[in-house]
Amino acid sequence: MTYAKVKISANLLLESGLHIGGSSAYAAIGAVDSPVIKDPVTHLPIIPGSSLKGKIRALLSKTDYNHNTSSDLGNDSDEISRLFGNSKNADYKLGRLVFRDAFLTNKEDLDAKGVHSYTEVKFENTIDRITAEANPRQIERAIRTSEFGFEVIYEITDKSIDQVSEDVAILRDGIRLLEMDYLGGSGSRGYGKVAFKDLKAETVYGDYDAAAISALLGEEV
Amino acid sequence: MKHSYRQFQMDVVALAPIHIGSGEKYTSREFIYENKNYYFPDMGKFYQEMIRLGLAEKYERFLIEPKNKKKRLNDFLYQNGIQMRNFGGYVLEETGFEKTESTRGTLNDISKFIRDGLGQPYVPGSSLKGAIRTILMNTKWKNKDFVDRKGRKPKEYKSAIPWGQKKGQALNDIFHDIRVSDSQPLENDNLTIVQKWDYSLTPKKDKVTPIPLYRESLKPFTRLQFTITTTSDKAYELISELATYASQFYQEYKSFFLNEKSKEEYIQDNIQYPIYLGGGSGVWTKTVMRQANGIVQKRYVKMKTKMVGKGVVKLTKAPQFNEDKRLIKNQDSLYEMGKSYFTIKEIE
Repeated sequence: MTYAKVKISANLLLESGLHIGGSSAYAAIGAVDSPVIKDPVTHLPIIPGSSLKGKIRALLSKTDYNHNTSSDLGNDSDEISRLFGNSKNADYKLGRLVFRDAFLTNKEDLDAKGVHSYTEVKFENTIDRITAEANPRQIERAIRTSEFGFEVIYEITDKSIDQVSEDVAILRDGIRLLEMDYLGGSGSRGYGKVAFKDLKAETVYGDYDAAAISALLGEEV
Repeated sequence: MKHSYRQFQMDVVALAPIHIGSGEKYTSREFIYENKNYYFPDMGKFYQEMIRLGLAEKYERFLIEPKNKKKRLNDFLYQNGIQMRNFGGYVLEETGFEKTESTRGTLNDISKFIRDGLGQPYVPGSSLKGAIRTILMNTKWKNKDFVDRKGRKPKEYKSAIPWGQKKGQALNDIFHDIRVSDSQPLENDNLTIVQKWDYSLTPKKDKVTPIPLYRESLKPFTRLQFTITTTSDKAYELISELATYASQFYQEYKSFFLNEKSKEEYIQDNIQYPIYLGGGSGVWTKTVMRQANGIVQKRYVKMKTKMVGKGVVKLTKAPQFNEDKRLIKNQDSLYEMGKSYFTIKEIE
């Protein structure tokens, strides 16, 4: 019986400020009205696994890997469902991928660069194109050049062993798509440009040679 | 893998000072003027040094006491014989146009340029995108009615161009399909301090007036690089034709405002395709001008500064930063605030 867990990891580098919204339940007047989500212990910005998983799935669902044109995720193709899960499909109730929250990894480097804070506050405004009145807002962003530890656990079983290279290729394409798209909010105006550096795979449980997966991940599209 | 993402490289070059504000200002207590330079210390570091020198309390008193109201950071340093300048921060060279000879360096507030988390100035994608949107709304969609007259006062009808999700309908949001990146990070060397000058041309008056408003701005010739990604065919088409729309917009702006309100010598020639970026470029570069005309003016009726006709031309003074290339046609060093040009090409 084959049962293995392969850890696929990378350095997720922010090439522009990133805004993944947190709760704005309490915002003082004049203070940031849309804060980013942070680790409650360290107060450092994080990238929740749900944001990564959701965005990558949404991007992949627009490609040829999927044929689902309805709004119901339950109709997603087998290729997508088996990786991300499908609550309506008995075979793929649980997906093969586990996305981890990504934490800030280069705090020291940022400190050395002399940053004051790991998030910046960007002032923006809406100009009414008829009255020319400005309506300002403040948005918090995790700063450019921050790095986060991206980590996905991929599960290999007897059932999936023949599909490994296909699965990894899909995930890799999802990652490439994400680099062309944006992560988090307000991406159409520059936020959330990300790059994945040093994508690699290693077997963390069971007996499986992850070298082929690593090679596949490093391959340019 | 198939996708419909197509990318453009858009380069914007400043033809005049460009100011993108961060929403904050330096007060007269936050910079030091000396040796023809403006030094903007890192005020956190400055305060720490004051603590180290045992001057923290004195500094606090300096800030609070009413009799010091007119005093600047220079005065505090002088009074206490502080020679050191290792407070971090950065230096901008004066241009010589800030004030008259005798009042040099006595600026009050200076609007800050936007900076990223590493402290480097940059131009956000949101600023460029807003400018692109204004161009498109004045050309491509100029026949649409953008005025919402339902409320007490007319305002922009924001749904004239569909955006956002509508329940039960496919997403139709053309400006979500146009993604404008932030510019590359810039250096402090790209910045200079410029003052606002208003030019008013009325039957009775023909003069340029300095306004006590100073802005950290990009120097002319600064090149900004942006990537625009389009994710639908319609968006791709719009961006492919952006250059044509920009030229149309400029023609419209010129006949609507510049020709009427400005002296020929204050209008700068275009290079490539014109675009106005950032603060201080005037309302007509920010609105759907023909539809806003009349409504904008009403806002100022009750204020001290009434807007006469279409208002004044917004200019600024800056030196010639390049000996070989003259960007202006007047002898008074007056530039059109925010004026720039762009080139755009698709990248494979």
